[in-house]
Amino acid sequence: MKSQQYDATTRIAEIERQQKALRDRLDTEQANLRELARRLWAQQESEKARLSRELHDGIGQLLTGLTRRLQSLSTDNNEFLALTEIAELALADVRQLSRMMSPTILDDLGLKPALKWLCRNLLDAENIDYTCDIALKSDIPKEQAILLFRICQEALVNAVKHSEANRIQISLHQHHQIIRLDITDNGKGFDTAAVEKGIGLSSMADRASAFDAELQLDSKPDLGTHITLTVSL
Amino acid sequence: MTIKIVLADDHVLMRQGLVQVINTDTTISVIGECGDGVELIEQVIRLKPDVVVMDISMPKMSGLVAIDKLLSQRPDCRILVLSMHNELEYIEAMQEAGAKGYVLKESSSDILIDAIKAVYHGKTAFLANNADTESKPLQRTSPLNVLTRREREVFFLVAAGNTSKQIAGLLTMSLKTAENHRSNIYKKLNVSSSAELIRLAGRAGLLE
Repeated sequence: MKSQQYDATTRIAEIERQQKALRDRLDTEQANLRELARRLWAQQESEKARLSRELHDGIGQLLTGLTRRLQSLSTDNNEFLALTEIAELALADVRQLSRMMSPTILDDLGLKPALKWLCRNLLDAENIDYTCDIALKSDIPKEQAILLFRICQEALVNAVKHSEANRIQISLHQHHQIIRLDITDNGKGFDTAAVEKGIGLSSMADRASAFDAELQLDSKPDLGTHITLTVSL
Repeated sequence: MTIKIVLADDHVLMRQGLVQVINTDTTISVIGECGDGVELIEQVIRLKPDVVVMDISMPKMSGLVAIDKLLSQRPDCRILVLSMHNELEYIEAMQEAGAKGYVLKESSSDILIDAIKAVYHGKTAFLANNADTESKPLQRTSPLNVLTRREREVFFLVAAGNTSKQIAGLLTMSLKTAENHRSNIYKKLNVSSSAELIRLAGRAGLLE
């Protein structure tokens, strides 16, 4: 009887040990996957940076040259003026595209000016009334700064394209080691259960989880959309 | 008397072009050139230029950090930023960091030379000539606005390097009162030492 009890106890201990080993392995695998995901996102960033530089230094420089020559030629000739204007627009577009692809402002000046710049560039032209309230207490590590910037960019682009909102609130706050980004619009919203997650939405969530951040999306038809990203430093 | 310049830009061709442009004016002379923030600080300390002309995006140390370091080493340093970015956020950030001027790289050489002279003569030159800055003129508020008149007097005495005891003597107040003023000023300006206060004063252009 006693030895039976002993056997059972050893077997339970053995099973527990095996379970712990499995759990540990699972944890390690998950950590590896997250690490891989992070590396993929980082790679995407550096690829975008390369393309952005090529756009800026290649086509950008050619268009700068073209614009300058046209500017120096154009006098009172309307045709010339129109051509100059088109060249200037093309140059402005290439610059804008290049900067949105790889926001050097984030490296140069940090997250707060970068987000203000993003809002101004994406929302001013659309006649969307917005507030951008940022209160950060410490410097944000580069990885997290890029995450916050990209999620904000994606959310604002979605809002501009789909929401028909005329008012957007952006707020970024820090509480100890936690950063919270809130983006709220007063647009037409959508039924989160009915709408299949498009590439934009699911890639935002994927990206957040790769950096141990949490993305929450609340939306109802006619009641706008609210996105929250919580990042721990 | 020539205006002595140290020039920092990591693009060698750009830098050579700039040296040529600047040297066409006989009253200005480039006494040092460098390609990154670390070298810049070293040269400024060694060569003591009148005006620093610098790019923002440089290797080893970003322009913003370099300005910060420069001003903490030499609070009276006059910095003119030369940049390809015409965005409002850049101009504001550089102004906040303590630069005295901001000129676009695509500006004409006249604009650059005028800006160097203006900065040398203690004026500011935020001439980015773009729509952004025209529609929203930059307003710089003095950090001293939050201080009372008495605190301002104490502020300048601290900035001039006086101890609380000396300030008490100069303003005929008790040591305790002088110390109270001092700690209130520190709190209001969010600084924790006289060194930080002097730096803030230097950035705000209050040391002349």
